[in-house]
Amino acid sequence: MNCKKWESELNALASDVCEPGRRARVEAHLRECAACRVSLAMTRRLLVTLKSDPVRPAPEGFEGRLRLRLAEQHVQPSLAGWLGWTACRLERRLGLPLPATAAALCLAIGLSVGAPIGWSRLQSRSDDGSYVRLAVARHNEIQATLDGDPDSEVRNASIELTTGELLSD
Amino acid sequence: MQSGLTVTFDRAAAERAEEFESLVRDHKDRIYGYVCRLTNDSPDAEDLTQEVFVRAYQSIHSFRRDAAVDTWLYRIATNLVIDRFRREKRAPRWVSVERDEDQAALELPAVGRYSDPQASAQLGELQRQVRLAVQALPEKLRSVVVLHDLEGLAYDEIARVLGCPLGTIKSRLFNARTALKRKLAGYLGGEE
Repeated sequence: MNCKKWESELNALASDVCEPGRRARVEAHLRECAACRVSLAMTRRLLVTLKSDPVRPAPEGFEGRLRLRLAEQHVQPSLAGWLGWTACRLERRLGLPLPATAAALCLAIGLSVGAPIGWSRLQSRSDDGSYVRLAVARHNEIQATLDGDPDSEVRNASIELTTGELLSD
Repeated sequence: MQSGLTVTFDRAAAERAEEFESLVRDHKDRIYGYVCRLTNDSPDAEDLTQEVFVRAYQSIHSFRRDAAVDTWLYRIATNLVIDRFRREKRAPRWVSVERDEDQAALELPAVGRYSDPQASAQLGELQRQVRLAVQALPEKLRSVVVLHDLEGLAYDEIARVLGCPLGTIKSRLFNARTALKRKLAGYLGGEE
């Protein structure tokens, strides 16, 4: 009997991916066809043997040798790559949508890197006679006033005065 | 302020290194096993597996969020093994499934730990024959059968690893199993 047309069905049955309707048809055919029963048994035996192939764990010291190799080759991924990678991992683990995760990551990176840079620039600009110098000077005056007299009226008056000066400038 | 920045970058680098080490820890056995199966336990298997992780580290930006980490690493490993075989021109030969008498084609150059007689003796005869027959498959069929029947990946995952349509994967798996069954009929109880 030519059962070639059943081969793919037998294959699906052996893999347990046969839909119920197809499965019933294949089983009906199997009851009548000895050749297909043999073929199915062979496929199943093959699959069992393949699945029983022993797992090979990575050799001892694999991670150490890999670390050395990375160091020797000076391998470095880009920062953008790592940001994308971390965003994907967070998305999977926390179930956050990627845009929210990416925004949170950007904010965190921005604050941790941008804030120190911004502050150092602010400080350096305060030395060259720009508007920042006035702001810093006024801040110091207010602070000195507050340190000397923590009364709330004095504090409010100082703040109002300084704000007015800055706005008029 | 400079030291603050340095600390920030150092901390970020340390976190990246830690993240990568956890990736290696979680996946090294699986990827090493896969490379062994594709290369017939070649002595190069460790070198190739390390190269998989080096490439992963270098191209971490190419990791796609719709793919599992496993799938991504399998993809790198598959491409790497194919490249290596092509470059060294020592890929296992294609054995025509129509010519069962060509038993010599199954006698592939045995390399690696399983060429050791003692190690080989520990393996069942059927298992050994199946392994040889898998190695004798053409690379396209071999990678599908290894990924599906040995590594346990689903069709759609294999399609992503190999960059092929689902139908191609199913048909390659069918052809691979047919070839293996014909080759191993005597061992699988198919001879009447």
